[in-house]
Amino acid sequence: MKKGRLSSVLCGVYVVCSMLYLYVPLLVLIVMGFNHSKYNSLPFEFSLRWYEALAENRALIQSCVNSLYLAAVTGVACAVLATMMLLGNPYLPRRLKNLAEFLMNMPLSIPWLVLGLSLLLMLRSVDMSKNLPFLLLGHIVVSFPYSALVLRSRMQSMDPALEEASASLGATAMTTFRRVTLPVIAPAVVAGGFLSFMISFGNFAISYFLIPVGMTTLPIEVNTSIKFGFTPEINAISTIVVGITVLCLALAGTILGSGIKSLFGGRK
Amino acid sequence: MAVVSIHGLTKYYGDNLVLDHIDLEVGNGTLVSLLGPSGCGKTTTLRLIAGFEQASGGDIFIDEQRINDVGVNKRNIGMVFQSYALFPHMSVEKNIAYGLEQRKIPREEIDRRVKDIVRLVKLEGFEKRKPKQLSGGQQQRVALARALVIKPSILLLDECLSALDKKLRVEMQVELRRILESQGITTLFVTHDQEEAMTISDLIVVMRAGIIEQIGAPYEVYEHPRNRFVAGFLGKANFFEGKVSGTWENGVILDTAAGTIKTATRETAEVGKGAVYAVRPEKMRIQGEGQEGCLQGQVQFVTYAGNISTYTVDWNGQQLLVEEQNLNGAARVQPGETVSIGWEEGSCHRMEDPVEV
Repeated sequence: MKKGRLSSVLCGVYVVCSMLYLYVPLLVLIVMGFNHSKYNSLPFEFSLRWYEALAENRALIQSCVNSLYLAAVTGVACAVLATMMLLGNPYLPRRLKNLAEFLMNMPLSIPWLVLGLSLLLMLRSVDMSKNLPFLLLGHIVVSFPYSALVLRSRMQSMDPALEEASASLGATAMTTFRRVTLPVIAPAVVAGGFLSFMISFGNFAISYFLIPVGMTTLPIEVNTSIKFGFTPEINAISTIVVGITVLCLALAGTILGSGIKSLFGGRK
Repeated sequence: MAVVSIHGLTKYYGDNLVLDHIDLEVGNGTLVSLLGPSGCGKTTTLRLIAGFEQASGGDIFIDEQRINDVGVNKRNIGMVFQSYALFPHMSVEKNIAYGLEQRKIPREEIDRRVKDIVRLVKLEGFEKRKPKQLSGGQQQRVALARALVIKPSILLLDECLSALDKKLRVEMQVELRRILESQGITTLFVTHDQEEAMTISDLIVVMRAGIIEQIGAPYEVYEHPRNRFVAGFLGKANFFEGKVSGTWENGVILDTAAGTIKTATRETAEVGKGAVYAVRPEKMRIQGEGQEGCLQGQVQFVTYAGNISTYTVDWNGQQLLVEEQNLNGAARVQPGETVSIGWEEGSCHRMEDPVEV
């Protein structure tokens, strides 16, 4: 009895410590965004000056907009591609199917650094300059497996008889997809797209290699600012990003319910 | 309503032969069960008729039209799946209306037909519910309504009662018969449950390993099984296998490994040939004082099941099952007693299985 209580206390301490380790830095970042000090130092003095400065900082805002744009296109593209791929996959011969699955997940196990470098070398070898479509392509390549993983777990739990039932009731393949398959997998499509969005939004390595001259993304801008004079404007924009993320998660959670659960591997 | 004919239907999965030249006629408005253990090809047969699989050989006709190359969505079949396969994002009425919408039927007619079928399957008041909010039995009714509302030429039921618990299953069997009879629809029913097949079918098709072992009315298949497999799959049976050494006025004398038995039967066999006979446990009688039975054995176990008792009788090493109704409450004999067992001539059937002697 006594031993049981001790172990449950230890368990509690362990969980609290883990959570603190995860979230305290984030909290510090957010709090320091509201601190007057330029060097993220104490004592704390509440101020909104970094948010004001951020509003003036065109470069930072532009980089954030670029990142959002890139991530949005990547998220949508990954969701659509993953859906197409996984719908077609069952119709492939077995050996080809395994190969397709392998290739699909491959980018997960290749370091982004290597992927980014190889993409850049390829660009050079065909004598092209760095451009936006190619950057986008790079982002899609690294973000795609995440969409595919989320979607696949959902599709595996889908009853194949649903599509057969639809066909037996007289529906064409297109109608079956539109009225049965898509609505059933939609939460996972959205969740997968959202995950790819986040991967792309935070990606530094691929962007670093492939970003066209004169363009910048938020991760790159943050990296640059750490090298050349960091100001709490970065805290401010990070706080906004975190806020928007939480808001999106909550919104998606309420609208789609099961979608977000499947994002975190929950049951359907 | 339609007639289904199947000629030489064959199906391979790779090199694996799962259906071997099946011939089957399903008459207009009849309910035919495909019965067999898993892997016997019954579900494959159903899926071939539905069009989910392509036949490797043979023809399928519905009302004399060959449908092998007709797409699933053009076959006008109603199918109830084992998992029900209700569309989870649609309400009960949307699920049911789905097939009618595919047929471009005017809205008013769809509404009317959905309403009628909902009444038939007794689901009034549940129209707006999602499948998840229904019990297993109710989901079953929705699946049935969805398949029936399109007025299919044939209805295919794939083990659709097996997910229900026993009491509900028996209720649904009766309900299913009522609904199907009111619609007069030709139905093919796949099941591995022999009791279920007996209860609801006009005709039972017993299958094993891709071939049909026997086709007949429930009574016929149960009372006159053709071979050991059918006798053993539908109910229980005691088998006597050996060489016929002679005949007597009411049957034959059979030399088996466990001893010689003087069996009462009408189905005699040539003296000197091998034969196997089957007697159902409930057809065997524990004889009273002074009555001569076909064999003597010692009672090993008595299993009391309320309405009946099952006696396991050891006859020179061969175990026999005897079932008797508990007319006086308790079991009639106790383990260890030696009993004489007999049966009527008409209860002992010769199996077609070849016997080496």
